[in-house]
Amino acid sequence: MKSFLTILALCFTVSLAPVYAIVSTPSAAPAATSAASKKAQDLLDRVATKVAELTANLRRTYSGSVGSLGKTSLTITTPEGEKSISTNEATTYYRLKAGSRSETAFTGIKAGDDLVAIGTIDPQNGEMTAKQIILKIKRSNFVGTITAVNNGIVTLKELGGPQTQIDLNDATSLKKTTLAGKVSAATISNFALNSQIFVIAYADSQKPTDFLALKALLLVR
Amino acid sequence: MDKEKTITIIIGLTAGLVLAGVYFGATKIIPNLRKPVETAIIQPASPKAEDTKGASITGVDISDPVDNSSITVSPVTVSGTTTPNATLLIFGNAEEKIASSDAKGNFSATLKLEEGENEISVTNLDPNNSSVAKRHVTLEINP
Repeated sequence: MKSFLTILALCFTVSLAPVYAIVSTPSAAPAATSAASKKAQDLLDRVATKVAELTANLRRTYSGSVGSLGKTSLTITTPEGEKSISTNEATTYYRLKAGSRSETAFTGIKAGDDLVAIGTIDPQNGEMTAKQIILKIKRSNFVGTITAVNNGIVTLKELGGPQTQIDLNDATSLKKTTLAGKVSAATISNFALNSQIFVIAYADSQKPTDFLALKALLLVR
Repeated sequence: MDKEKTITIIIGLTAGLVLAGVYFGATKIIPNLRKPVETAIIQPASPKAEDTKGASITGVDISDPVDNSSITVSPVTVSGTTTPNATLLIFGNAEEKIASSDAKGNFSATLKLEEGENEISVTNLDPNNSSVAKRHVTLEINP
């Protein structure tokens, strides 16, 4: 009887061996699927990066003050260095001044003018072919704390940055806001020491290190 | 080999083959029968970048608009990430807005622009995480 059971168990085991082998061997299919999925994701990421690069190159702007002028091209000085801009018959020109807009031409551009050019940039040499050129005095955005006030001129210490003198004059739009977003009119007396303020200003042509404010917003906590 | 042993071998092989046949037949009819083996080797999905980005950021990161880009219509959507549940001031040439980030630190708001170049600042107003990021975006003039 003992040998009968032994032989029976042995034969049973041998017959079921292929089943055990299949069940215990992980299929390669999920791994293959995972690898294919990773490749597809990598491809999508590469395409997304390329599209972003192309978009950035296709619709870029250069902003700065005009250095030299040629017949149909010019150079401007930007925070990233000197940039070349070429124009053609399709380029449009506008001048924005005191809230009004007027059309102009390439001949209306002078050395020292502030402008922003919109166009496509040649990735080989960085030269832009401008679609539109807008002449407008450059406006800067300042965020910081008042460290001094003197006759409407505030010294602003930017977050992690330098100190700048900004003139809050009669033409400046003065406002204050609460953390809840309630905005109301303000007066120069509201702009006290250690106040956090936000300013849009342009450089004083007589003293380029100082700025004249167009609008100033005071944060009331 | 005596008759008894031969019969035993035949019985053992037959029983084993019958069970094996049942197994293979069943897996063809029910393809998911082996699923527990497959799921055991699939790695758990890693968390998405956007899920963790807000939790680690300490300043302000503006994802949109891209710096030195141009648009043809105003307002523009300003979005990005900062610390979770922060109060923000989005300040531009033509408009300013108080906004908040969500629990993941994501924020989004629309802001009017003026024609030409605009410099937009996004400031985290939390005194413990005070930080600012800026972007230049130009609104094209439509003749």
